[in-house]
Amino acid sequence: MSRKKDPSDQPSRDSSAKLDNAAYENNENQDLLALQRLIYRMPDREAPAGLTESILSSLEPKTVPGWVRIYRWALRPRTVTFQPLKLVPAAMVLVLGLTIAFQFGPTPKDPGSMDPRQASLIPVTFTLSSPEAESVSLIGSFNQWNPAGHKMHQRGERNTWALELRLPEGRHEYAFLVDGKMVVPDQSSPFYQSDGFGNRNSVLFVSRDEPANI
Amino acid sequence: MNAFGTLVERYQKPIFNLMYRMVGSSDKAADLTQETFIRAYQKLERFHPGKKFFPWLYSIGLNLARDSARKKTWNPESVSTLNPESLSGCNSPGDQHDRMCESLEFLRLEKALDELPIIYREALILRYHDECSMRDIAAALNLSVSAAKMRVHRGLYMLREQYIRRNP
Repeated sequence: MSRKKDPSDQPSRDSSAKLDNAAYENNENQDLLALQRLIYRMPDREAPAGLTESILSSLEPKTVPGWVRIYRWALRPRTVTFQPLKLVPAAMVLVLGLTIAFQFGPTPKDPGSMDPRQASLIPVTFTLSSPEAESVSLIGSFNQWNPAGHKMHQRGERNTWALELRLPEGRHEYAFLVDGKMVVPDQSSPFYQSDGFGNRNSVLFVSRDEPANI
Repeated sequence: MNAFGTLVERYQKPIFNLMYRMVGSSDKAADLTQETFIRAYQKLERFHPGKKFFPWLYSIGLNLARDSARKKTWNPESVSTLNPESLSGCNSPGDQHDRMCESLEFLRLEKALDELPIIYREALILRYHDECSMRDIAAALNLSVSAAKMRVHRGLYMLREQYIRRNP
């Protein structure tokens, strides 16, 4: 290891100050490097024989609090494994259960499960014979005379237009709107009511005792 | 031997040497080493499993050694690293001379290290003897990483001054 520099080692006056500093820094770095190596090679003292046994024998068994054990248990990662083949029985039971539920469970079409308001309505079928018509709608007091409300459909004979509705009991006025422009009363209805504008509306009385087929 | 026993086996030597540097007595150093491991065992729940065990253990040991140094109740041994037995295997007078020179160097180094403040000395030992990373040194000495780097850097310059002053 280098020591403090001997004055005789000093560079001559002709040498530049820069070189002097560089040489000094170089010596300093060598010193630091040598010290690092010396520390690295510095021998360790051996621990007294039997120290490990002495330490271990002095450790008292620990009682871990319950909450710590629960906390550790909750934090411990787990691996879930399964065999697809073992899932087959469970899948079969699930499919069987769903099938039974759909087969024997209540359905929306079941009258017993129908909305009470729907159950109190009475089915009425409206028909109009008009072979030359392109489209026919049913307008009436039950749909606020809305022409887009109830479109009628052609039946097999092609000249008959029909529509089935469920209406509440009571008196209803109605008419057919042919091709979106001509209001035609129902010729088969025995009752009419003037609309106050020179047209006649058909009148229908719906009763539970007498299902209507207009 | 259980898992903690493995840790004791692995780290007892650096902890014993830390204690010896602090107290200068083998018996007292052994007692403090034992106490360090007992405390670590008692505080094991507080140890973060993702971190390194040695810096955490070193930190416990250093605090314990400082407490013990404050209430000093023992006499330091006058022990030299010049071990006559280490010279017995030398084949030639040249070998003996080399080994003796080396032992003298270590003795001078120990003396120079003893003159340094503890935190600088331990930073140097951890860095250059135990080959710890700066992050581990920071954890062991309860410093930030930048402070640990500064301790190592300044410690080395301070050691050089001490070494040169003792061996002009």
